[in-house]
This record gives sequence, C-alpha cells and structure tokens, in this order.
Amino acid sequence: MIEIRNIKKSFEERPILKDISTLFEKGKTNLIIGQSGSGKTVLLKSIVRLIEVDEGEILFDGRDIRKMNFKDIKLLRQEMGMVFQGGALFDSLNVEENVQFPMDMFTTMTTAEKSKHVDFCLDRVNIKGAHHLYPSEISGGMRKRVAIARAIALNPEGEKGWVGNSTQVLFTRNKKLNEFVFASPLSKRIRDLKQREDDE
Amino acid sequence: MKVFSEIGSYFLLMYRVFSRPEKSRIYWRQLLLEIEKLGIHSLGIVAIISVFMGGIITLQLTYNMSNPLMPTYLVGLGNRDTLILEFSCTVLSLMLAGKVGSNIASEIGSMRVTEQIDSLELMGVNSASFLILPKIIAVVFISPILFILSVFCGIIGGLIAGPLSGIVTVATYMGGIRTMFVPFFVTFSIIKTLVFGFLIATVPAYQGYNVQGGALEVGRASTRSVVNTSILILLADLILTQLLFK
Repeated sequence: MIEIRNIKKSFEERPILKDISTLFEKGKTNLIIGQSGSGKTVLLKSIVRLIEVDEGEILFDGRDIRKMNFKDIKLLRQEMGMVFQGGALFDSLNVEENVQFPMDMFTTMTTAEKSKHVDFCLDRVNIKGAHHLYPSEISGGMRKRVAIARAIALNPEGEKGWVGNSTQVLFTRNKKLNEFVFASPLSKRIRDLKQREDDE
Repeated sequence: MKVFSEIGSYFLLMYRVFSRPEKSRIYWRQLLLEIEKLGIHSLGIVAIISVFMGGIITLQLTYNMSNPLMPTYLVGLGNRDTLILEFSCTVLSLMLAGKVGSNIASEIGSMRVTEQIDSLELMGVNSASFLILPKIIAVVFISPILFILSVFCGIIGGLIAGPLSGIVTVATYMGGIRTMFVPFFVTFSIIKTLVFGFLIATVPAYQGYNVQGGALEVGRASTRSVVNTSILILLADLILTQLLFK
C-alpha cells in the first residue's frame, strides 16, 4: 500500500502539487488523470523520490521514502517497476541486453538462464524476432513494450510492488501482476490494454 | 552564491560516484568500453596534432634561435621540454576537454533528458557511479598514455621539420633531444595529466548529469562543460606548477 499525505511541490515559486493526499491500495488499479501539465508525472516521480517534494509524507507500507537513506531507497526501488513516457531504453544496448540489464545487475543467473528469462519477458509483451535490434531501430510502441518487459524482468509474476508510467499509457495489471499500476490519460490505448488484459 | 551551490553539488555527485559499485563485473565491462571510446578513439587525433605541433615548435625555435652564439642542439632540447612540460599535458588536455568532455556531457545529458538515468535509479542502480565512475577511471588511465604518445609524436614531428628547415641536422636535433634530460619533468607532467584527466571526466559528467530540459539544454551543457573544464585545467596547471616546482 502506498499512502501519500499532504505533499506539496513547487518549481521556482510555481506550485505544481498542492497538498495532495491519497491512498493506493494493494491489488487495485489506479489511474491518475489530468490535463497536460497538471503534474501527473511530477506526482509519480515524487512518489518514487525521483523528484524531492517540498512537504508531506510518502509511505510505502508505512515506510516513509522521504526519510530513507540512499541505500534503503535503492532496495525499495528494486521492488518497483516503472515504464517511462518514451520507454527510456538504453540506447547503447539492444533489446535483449536492455531486458537483461536488471538481471545482470541484481541476479546471479547464468547466461543461459538469463537468455531464457529474456525470451519469456519479451514473449509476454509480444515482441518476437527483435532481440538484436537497437531502440533506434524499433517503433515507439515496441520500445514501450520492451520497457515493460524490462520492468517485469526481475519480477515477472508481480509478487512485489509495481508502479507504472505517468503521462502516457501505463501498462495495466496483468492477471498475475496483482499490484499497483498508475496511469494517466483515459486514452484509447489504456482501454485497449485493459480490454486485452480482461480478455486474457 | 550559485558558484558555491554548484561546487557543493559537484562534490555531492562525486560522493555518489565513488560509492561501492553494485556489481564490479558490470563496471569492469563498462570500463573497457569507455577506455575504447574515450581513449583508443583519441589516439589518432592526438598523434596527428602532436606531429604537427612538434614540427611547428621546432621550426619556430629554429628560426628564432638562428644565432651563431646559440648551439643548434638547443632546438631539439627546446622542443622536447616544451612538449613534456606544457604541450603534451596541458594543451593536449585542453584539446581532450573539447573532444572527450563534450562527448561525456552530451551522452550523459541525453540520457538525463530521455529519462534513462531515472530508469537506472528506479531499478535500484546508483546511476552516478554506474555512468561516471568508468569514465573517470578510463580517462585518468588513458591520459598518461596519450601524454607519452604525444611527446613521442611531437619529437618525430620535430625530427621531420627541423632538418627540412636546413638549419638543424638530424644528428644535432637528436643530440639536443638527449641533452640535459630531467626525468622529474616527465613525473611532473604525468601528475598533471592525471589531475587534468580527472577534471576532463568529472566536470562534463557533472554538467551532463544535471541537465534539465531538452536537446537545447544538452547542447548548452556540452558547451559549458568544455569552457569550465578548460578554465579549471589552466587553473590546476598554475597551481600544480607552483606546488611541484617550488
């Protein structure tokens, strides 16, 4: 469960988040909807402390991320997945290496195991035959799906927390990814994704 | 006040950069890539510039020292010491601040604006250390090698240009190269290149890491990084010369 209490954030005297309080319960899909420039991305990035808020509390199962040291934040973030607006894939790595990256950093899996797991993750987002292509060689939609595959690479069954992307589509919950997902505009794409997921 | 704030931010970033790596094997791989990208790819330009500069220094010395009271071997000696003491460390570092520094600032800046750095942070990776530490080690490691290469190429350049001027012969030039050699000059310059290498890697990395905005800001950060690094190199040169030659 993520609880936000009275958070405020201003950029150069311009208030963006004005005393926001809300609760994201475990197992529920949450959408954050708003006009362009209304602060959805700022809110999501503040929740995971990529942006420091000016005031307020952000509690992950009772633990205030604002009071955590760098080491604890790193550990907490390893429980999260997030898909950024443009996918934020690493330009210097190909699709396979991008998805494999979290495994390289945080697991002791063998090369064969990692390769198999990459196939599994890419298969879940319906990416086939693009393992050796670079982000610049694939479409925007594919980039986003690869980003989803990378986000679930360490946590494919969704046992741990899951935070989605801010300003565009965010991956919704897979039936196995029974955790938090935040998304923003009620775009057709979100509805399509949800519909697809419900159909599954 | 902004200057102090920037200096503080720089040292805070360095604190993060030099924290314990998550997985040293991955860092090692990154280091080798950076050595290739920042170091090996600079060998050609360093060699070309050094040959020409060595030749030009030799010609200048030759024409300006054409005095019967001055032994001509001083041309070789002068070229060697100019290369060792200033050109191959300071001037070359200024050139590398442009080539390598702008590369580092724009690469890290682009990663910032495309949220790749945020993505690393969200995975629980210390992005500052992962992105910047291998670059620092690579540049600091490769700088003395480039310095030695530069001195060698500069001397070769002088060897080609000097005799062509008709004033100094190959034997006299080579004699000058071997005359009154002070090994401390090399030590002094290697110390300088290590410090300059650190500045070349860290100042642009700081500028790139703190980019906010889009492509325009990345360009500005790149320019700013070259200017700031160049000024700091000259400042460090002044301080080190004062300290080490005292």
